[in-house]
Amino acid sequence: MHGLIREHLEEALQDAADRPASEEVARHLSGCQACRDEVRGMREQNRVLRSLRAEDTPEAAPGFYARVLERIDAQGSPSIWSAFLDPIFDRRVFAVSLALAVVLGGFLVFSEATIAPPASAGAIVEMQDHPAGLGQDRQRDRDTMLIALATYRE
Amino acid sequence: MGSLSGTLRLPAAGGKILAKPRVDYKNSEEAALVRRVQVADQMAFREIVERYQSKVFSIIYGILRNHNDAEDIAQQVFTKVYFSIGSFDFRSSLLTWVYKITVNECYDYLRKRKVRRLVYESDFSPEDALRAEGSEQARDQRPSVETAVADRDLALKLLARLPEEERTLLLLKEVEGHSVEELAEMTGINENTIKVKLFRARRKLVNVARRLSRSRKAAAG
Repeated sequence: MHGLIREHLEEALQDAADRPASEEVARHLSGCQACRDEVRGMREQNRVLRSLRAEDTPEAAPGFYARVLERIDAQGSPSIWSAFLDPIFDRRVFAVSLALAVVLGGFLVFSEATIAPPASAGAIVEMQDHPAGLGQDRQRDRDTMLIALATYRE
Repeated sequence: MGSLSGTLRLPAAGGKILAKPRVDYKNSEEAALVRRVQVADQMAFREIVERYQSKVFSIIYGILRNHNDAEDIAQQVFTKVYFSIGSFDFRSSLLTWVYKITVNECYDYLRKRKVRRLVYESDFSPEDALRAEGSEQARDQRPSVETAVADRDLALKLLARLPEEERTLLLLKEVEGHSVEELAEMTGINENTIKVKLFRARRKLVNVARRLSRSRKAAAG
């Protein structure tokens, strides 16, 4: 299709009775078979497309708005699982999980540091042999007592 | 087709300026209505439904010609409007946006119901091919009601071959009867670009029709 017809295509596609194409366009079309064929094909497509025009349009039945709201409610009520698809919810869950992990981790680290490691068997035997330290360290006293009870024989 | 300037001559400097200033949809009365819906104002949404329901029914009925389905699809259109209005960007008019949603819903409906099978060449009947070619023989073969039904069917099949934007533009131009100038205002797209898009869409339709015609001739003999 030539540039002139491309440029004035919408004008050229108008029905002649509606709005005649400009003289320049009409002259070109009368002399150019290729443009004439293409414009004819496009006019035919227009005719087919215009069959989609609705002559008599049905009106919405009374209560249409209420039915739209019902549908919105039905489609808008969230399921339990849909909450997991919400990115904001996901971010919040991640933040809370991270905070919990930090708190628990911190607790474990600090509690490890404050609790004395259990005494070794050798140290306990040593303590039994030399009970002078009794009363100074309650944890050690407890361990000593437990060993004494466990190894007690009549 | 090449670039825009290669396709359509741009207005010469100092000459008649084709493109009108863009409509500022962000500051229109319609935009105020949309913003009210965006903050969950039910009355504003009701106003939108009441303002556009006739248009939506008209579009749906034009495509499907079915009263019962028109109600169902119209409900779905406004449900989509409600849920998507938060993303409405005011680049086009609300009507254009609603129009696009409506046409898409109609095509979704046709796909789901398989009223219209996936359109391949084989879906076109020999009569469709004649009709697409613009043959007088095809038009005269049937009584007018049947011709109208066949034309509608063919129009839907041909439009299914186009991208969503080109389809909407052609429908707004040929079915709704808007001018290029009005389309530019409604879509926020420059007039020359509208012309280019329409030209591409029309050429695609003509090419599909030609292919159909050739395949029909080849099959015939």
